[in-house]
This record gives sequence, structure tokens and C-alpha cells, in this order.
Amino acid sequence: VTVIFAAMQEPTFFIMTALAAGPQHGYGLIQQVAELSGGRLRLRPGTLYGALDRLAGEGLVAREHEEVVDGRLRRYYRLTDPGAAALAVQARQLRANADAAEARLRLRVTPA
Amino acid sequence: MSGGQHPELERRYRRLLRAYPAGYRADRAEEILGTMLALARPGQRWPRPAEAADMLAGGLGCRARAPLSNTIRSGLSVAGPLALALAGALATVWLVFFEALPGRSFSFVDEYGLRTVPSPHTAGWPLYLPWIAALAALLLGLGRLTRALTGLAVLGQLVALILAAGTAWPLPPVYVHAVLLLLGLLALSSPAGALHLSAGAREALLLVPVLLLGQLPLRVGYPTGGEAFRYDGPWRADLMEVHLTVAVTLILALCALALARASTRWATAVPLLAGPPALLVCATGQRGTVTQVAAVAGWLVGLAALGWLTNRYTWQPQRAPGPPLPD
Repeated sequence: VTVIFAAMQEPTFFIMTALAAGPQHGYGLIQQVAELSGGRLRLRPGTLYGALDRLAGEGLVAREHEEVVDGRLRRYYRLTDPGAAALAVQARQLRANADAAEARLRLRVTPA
Repeated sequence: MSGGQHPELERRYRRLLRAYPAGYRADRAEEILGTMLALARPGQRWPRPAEAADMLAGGLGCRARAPLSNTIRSGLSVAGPLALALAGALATVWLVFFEALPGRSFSFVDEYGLRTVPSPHTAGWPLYLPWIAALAALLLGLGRLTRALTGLAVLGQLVALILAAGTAWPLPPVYVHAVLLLLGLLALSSPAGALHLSAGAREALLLVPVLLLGQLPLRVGYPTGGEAFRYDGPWRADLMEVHLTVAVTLILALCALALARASTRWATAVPLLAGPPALLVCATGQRGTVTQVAAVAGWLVGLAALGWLTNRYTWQPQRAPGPPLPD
């Protein structure tokens, strides 16, 4: 888990975060990632599905179910237990990093 | 935005999706298309440049990593028999030129004084026999026997490589063993059944020994001034010619085999096969075991990297939650 977390990039982190609350389909994931990142990250389908393939290959994400809406296929994905563990490790690490940065910033001497 | 509202856009998106491999498209195209259409702006008729770039990058990335294991496997099914054919033909050439043709030690005087050139023959001739037998079995369509003989030849060559590098035994130089060993390993790593060739493939493969051995009469009559061909002798340039013939023959046979199988797998087989012949040319062009060992190591590292990438990026269409990850 530690090794996987170390290589986790921001889009991957937000995709897994979006899936943490429950299964989601591709379009929904793109919307949620944009919302979670404050609009900074706007995933495109090629990037999203490439990331989902990789995460599925690593066993962090799995296909859930499919449905047809307006004649279009929607496939749902969910976070697996190892995926949730990897995300939790990543979140703890990011929090620790942020705490360390803020603590150092408080020691910063501002020129008079 | 729902599908069906953008018939032109949908058609153009589908065209972009062709960047992905066919197998991937069969499984995912409708899903990705649905997402793309859902993200499209009202009235949009053309994919935006960023969308096109994203699809092309995604498709190329998928092609680069997804079917690599299958590609390598199918490439090995072509490279394996060709490697063995090449090894058998080389073994025959080396056996005839350096071990069987009359050769004797002789002395001569030049500006450095009296010098003696030892007999060119080594104790390496038995090593070539399993290769020739394996080639014969391959051409006769005896798959299991071919693999068994290749295994025997590889084993012998491995021992010879160690002996040639570490002892003063009168054996052929290191590059001979290294090249045969690499070709043998390539043949053995081909998928099960790959060494049991169809009649058409065997005919195509006959090109290798026929073209190589076809030059033997010319070589036998070559004006060597009484001196025999030798591994490290003054006939190096001549040897180089032989090796270049090997390379050309290999390419011809590769094309012929690919045509015989109506397949494009040869494209993958080329890089797999390029290592040993490159080593051969390198070894005969430059003296020094370090160069040869470095070339072998480089080739092996390259193949290992390829194998790692294959396992790392194999795309799996359906994967249940994976095994627990180690902490």
C-alpha cells in the first residue's frame, strides 16, 4: 500500500476520493473530480478511463454494474477494500505533509 | 446531454475512438462514447482539439501498454523458430568453415620475425551438432524433438561459454557461444507449439539454411593462400560477409514466414531477433570480451524491461477486486 500511495498522482487521488462514497460512472466521476478539486482538475475521458484501467489492474478499483440511460451505456465503478486502504494511507500522508509545511511556515521570520 | 442528439458529433467521436485497439473498443467504446456525449456542449458538432488530443493520447497509451503481452507472445512465436533456424545455420557454417575444412598450423616470417599460426580447429565441434539436429527436426515438423534438442544445445553452449571465458580450453571464442545461447533461449521462450511449424512456414524457413549453405561452395574455393578459415584469423572480413548474409537471410525469411502466416507478427519479432545478429556483427567487428558481454547484458536487460512492462501494463478487461496488497 505504501508503494502504491507514493506513486499516486493528483487525478488518481481525486478519482479514488470520488469513489470513496459509493459507486460512480465515468461522467459522474468527471463531475465529482472537478467539484472535489475546486474546479482545478477537469478530467477528460481518455485520461479518466486510462486511470481507471490502471487502478482496476492494480485491484484498487472494480467494475460494479451497468445501466442504460437514454440509450447510452453507463458503467459504474467502485473502490475496492485495498483501494480504500491505499486512499486512507494517501490521505494521512497528505495531512502529515500539510501539517509539517504549516509548522515550518509558523517558524518563518518575517522581515521587519 | 444525452446521446442521439449529436449524430455528426457521435460519428466523429467514434472516429476518434479508433485510436484505441479493436479489442478495447469492443468492450469500452459505448461507455466512453456515452461519457463524451454527456460532456459535449449543446449544439456541438465537432470534437474540440483538446478532446481529440485526449482521445489520441489515451488510445496510443492503451495500444502501447495494453496488448503488449499478446504482442510479445505472438512475436515470440515467429522469432522463436527463426532464431533456431539461424542458430542451426550458423552452427553449420561454423562447423564446416572452422572445424571441418582442412586446417593446419604453419609458420611464416614477417617484420616481427618467425611466427607460428596454430591449427584453427578447436574442441568445439560437438557443440554444433545439437543445433544442426534441432534445425533438422524443426524443418521436419517435429515440434517436441526440436524443443528437446534446442534445450540440449543451449545447455551445452552454456557450459562452453563458461569454459571459454574462464579456461584455456581450445574452444571457439566467447561470441560464438553467446550468440548461439541467445538464439537458443529465444527459441525456447517461444510459446508451446511455436516450434511445430506448418508446412508453409517450414518451406519459408528453408530459406535460412538454403541461402546460408548455398554459399559454402564459394567459400570452399576461396583463395585463402593455403591458410584455413579461423575464428580470429585474417579472414575476419570474410566472416563479416557471412554474418551480413545471415542478417539479410534472416530478414528475408522473416518476411516470407510472415507472408506464409498472413500475419503482422513479424513486426514484433524483428526487435526480439535483432539482438543476437547485432551482437554477432559487433563481436566480429571488434575484439574484446567486454564489448561482447556488454552487448549480451544490454540485450538481456532490454528483454527483461520489455517483460516487466508487459506484466506491468497488461490491460485486463474484467478484473475482480485484486488480492490484498502487501503493507
